[in-house]
Amino acid sequence: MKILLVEDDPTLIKLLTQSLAAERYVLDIVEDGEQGWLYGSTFEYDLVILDIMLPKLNGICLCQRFRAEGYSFPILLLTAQASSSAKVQGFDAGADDYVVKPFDQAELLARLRALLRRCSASPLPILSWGELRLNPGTCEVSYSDQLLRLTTKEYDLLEMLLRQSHHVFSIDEILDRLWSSEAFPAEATVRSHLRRLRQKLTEAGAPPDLIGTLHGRGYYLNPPPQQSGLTGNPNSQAAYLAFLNQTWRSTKPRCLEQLQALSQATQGSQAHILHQLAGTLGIFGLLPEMQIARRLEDYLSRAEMGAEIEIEAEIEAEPIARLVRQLQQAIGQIETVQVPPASSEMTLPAPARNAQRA
Amino acid sequence: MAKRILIIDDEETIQTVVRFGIRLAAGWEVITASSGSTGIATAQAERPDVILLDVMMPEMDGISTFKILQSHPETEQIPVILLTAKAQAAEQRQFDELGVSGVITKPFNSLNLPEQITKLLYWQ
Repeated sequence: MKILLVEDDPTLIKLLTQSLAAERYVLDIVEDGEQGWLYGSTFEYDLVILDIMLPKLNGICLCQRFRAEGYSFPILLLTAQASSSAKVQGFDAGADDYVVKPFDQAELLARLRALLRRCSASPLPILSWGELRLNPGTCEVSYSDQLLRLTTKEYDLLEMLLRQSHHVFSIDEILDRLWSSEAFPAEATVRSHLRRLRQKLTEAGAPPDLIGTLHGRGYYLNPPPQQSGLTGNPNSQAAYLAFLNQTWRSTKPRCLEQLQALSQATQGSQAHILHQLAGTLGIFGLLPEMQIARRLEDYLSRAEMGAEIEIEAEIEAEPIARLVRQLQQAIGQIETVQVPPASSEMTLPAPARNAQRA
Repeated sequence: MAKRILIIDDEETIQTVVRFGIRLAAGWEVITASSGSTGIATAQAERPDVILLDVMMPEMDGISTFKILQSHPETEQIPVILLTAKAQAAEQRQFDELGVSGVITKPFNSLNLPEQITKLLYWQ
């Protein structure tokens, strides 16, 4: 998990560097708002911590700017201002959480974990994938209850894959997310970390292709192996794929029509059209296209909510038009589809289930 | 034993593909509904073994649909699994408190659904 810290107080920087490193976060630190913008808009971060009183551009303005430009990473504001009006201002600027200095370190770390959890695909504190379990609270990883000894980078890789289990990560993306922007590791470094991670997983009993490679694209998690014969029949897979391809032939023109008609749709229904489209693309295993649709949905639902921040019409209209074109082009080129990976399923915490049964 | 699944999702392609996939993988019967209100009526009439419920639907969303299902004696015992895209923060907290039987994130491979449902509901 990679965090950007925008803070100009050297004592606090030192303190946070130590405690965040101990929790295995990768940290980029910049000391003024302009730098904060530059880093936040250039590199990939899972979370941003902003001080409010910053040189050049203050934390509130920076936060507003990130949100106005469509950056959706969680933002935690760190500040000496404890007044309720300051907090309201912070939340209205688009912050997700607000911590007043001086703060308890353990609480801050717990808040970071909670923010990261809310933004990941899994709402539960423990990430799991088949027999694989990763506990971000204790940094423990196990496969079939057997504890794995992972290095920091191996752990980071696995956590990243688990948090976005439907995403194919390119080497560039992995470098961007897991290494600080001052480090310039070779692609071979990433590959060797992955190789060792795979080896440790296999030794613990995981299938050798648990971390799959999509040649020329990147790495992803393969669905956990099935325990019963419900899906194991290769004929079922082939029949299912044939059905998907056949259905796609009639679905594709409909998807393109929807996109074509998007600009005529009422503002309230645009985001929903994109939501449906993302769902449709997902069921055909068209994951990169699904991600574009989801980004568009995100943009449009922000626009529909009227956004607390005034968004310049031309800033907002440009990426939407560009993404729509990109998506039309991508869908237009798809002749055959693939079987999507198995979804991650979640059982909910025991109290919720018991309550339901009672 | 063959099960009956009700899927409530406003996207008809998803209904079509899920019905095919579940039948192919497990031979279970799949009935479909395209909105929360028709889903509730279908659930009352058909009493399926489980309901797969899309969270984001126009008019009546999945959460409201679930609450109504819970309030009717004919449907309150039917386990509900939510289908959702990457869930929003507020939704995730809500799921925890609602008392649904599980959450399956989109996209999914329909061939795996019987296995996932079986696991979530402790059917074996």
